[in-house]
Amino acid sequence: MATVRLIRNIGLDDAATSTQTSTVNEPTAASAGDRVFVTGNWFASRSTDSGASWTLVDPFTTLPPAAGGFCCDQVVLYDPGRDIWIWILQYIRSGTSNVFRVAVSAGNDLGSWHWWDFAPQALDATWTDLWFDYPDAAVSANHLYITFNAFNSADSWQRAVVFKLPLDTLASAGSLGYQWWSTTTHGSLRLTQGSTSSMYFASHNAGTQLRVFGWPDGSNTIAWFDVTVSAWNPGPYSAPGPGGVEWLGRLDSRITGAWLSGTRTGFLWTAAARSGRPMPYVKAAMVETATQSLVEEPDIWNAESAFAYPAACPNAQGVVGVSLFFGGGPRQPEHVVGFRDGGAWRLVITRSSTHGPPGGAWGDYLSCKRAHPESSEWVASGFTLQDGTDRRNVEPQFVHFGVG
Amino acid sequence: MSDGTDRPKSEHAQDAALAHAGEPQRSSEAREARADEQAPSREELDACEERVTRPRKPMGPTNEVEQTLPEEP
Repeated sequence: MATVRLIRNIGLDDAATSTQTSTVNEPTAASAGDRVFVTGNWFASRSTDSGASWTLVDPFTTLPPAAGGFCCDQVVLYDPGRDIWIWILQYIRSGTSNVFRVAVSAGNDLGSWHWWDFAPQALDATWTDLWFDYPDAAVSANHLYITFNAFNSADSWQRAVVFKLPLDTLASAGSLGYQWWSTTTHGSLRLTQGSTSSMYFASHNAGTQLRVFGWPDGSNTIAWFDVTVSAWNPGPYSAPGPGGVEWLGRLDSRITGAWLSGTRTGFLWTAAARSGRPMPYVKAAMVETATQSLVEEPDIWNAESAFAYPAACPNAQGVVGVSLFFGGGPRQPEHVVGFRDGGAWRLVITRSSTHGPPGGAWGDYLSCKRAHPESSEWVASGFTLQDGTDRRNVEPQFVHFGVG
Repeated sequence: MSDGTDRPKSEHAQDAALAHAGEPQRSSEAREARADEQAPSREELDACEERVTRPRKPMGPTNEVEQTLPEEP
């Protein structure tokens, strides 16, 4: 039986984050050899020695301000094809609109950035009462894909937008032309990690249907099909831990993990308890894109504690790695990583919280990416609470793992 | 739609739009922050924590039929 091998498992201390941490931490991580970049609410930190030491890259001040100033959500990626880091930052509304920024740095630098800002009005001049929130990002062979939800000033969901940016232009700092597409029927679109010639993304239809979208790298056409999955429960979510402390107070059923391996896509989200699943669990749906059919539903579940907030990515051999949380019942929230091994998930706890969060606040997303140059391995982000319940007690976790 | 070159086989399809962001802005690690762009104070981040831990914004349409609550007589 294969086991999970933790190659690096590092908690980021107060110096690495300057205690600019939140219990809704939303950490992401990427690596290239000894160089590591980790983001989260509201910090970024880099290491050039595999995580032995860290330098704060303050998202409030490293780059000049935009809109109402740096807000919160961030995503970091590394594109090995062009040896570039990609740092996506969300900014606060100024009036009724905001921007997000795509910043790019050379792989061996991680200090000198060039960037583009994207406002809703750049897509449609009438979108003046619209602001971007909740990013996801993934690279294919030749493009960076980014998704955002868009809300109006009353915080009512209006649409989701997908951006397709050429990686060559991002790397060369040239004049950037790009493609974009928007939908008013599906939100929180999640992109497949591991894509090469086509990007896929998905969202729920009503009930047990998923809508799977495909956008070939060499095309400007987005197509979609629907797949029916087995019954699942979209909430409410609850998994109180020791002392009755709830940690799933913000959870919903949006898809948070997606991957492409060969012609098969996989999608993960958190489902609430139901018959046969006594605790919230990770619902999985694997879809064969060639036949547009559901092929497998390898849930991640446990009878005693909940699994939640999954992220996923395939390694170079197509083995799916995951990063997620485990908690409730006898457990405070724990960060877990692992991979799909034949018909089973092999998981290992990277770190356990000493406390549960106040007010049920946890989430909202994690990351799992292919390691570079060790492409059979993965790097993941997580976080735990250590020695207290204050936001300053949050310790982000950087994990490099492989098959043992 | 798996080979990246063929037109998608689905009958459900839309074309993307084109846009232009132009040349990038640039910076360097040595950039000094202006006085009005300092990192927020501990108290300001505590206020951020209060805001970010509020109930989550909608994830998008769920297309679920809403519950019905009869009026009291």
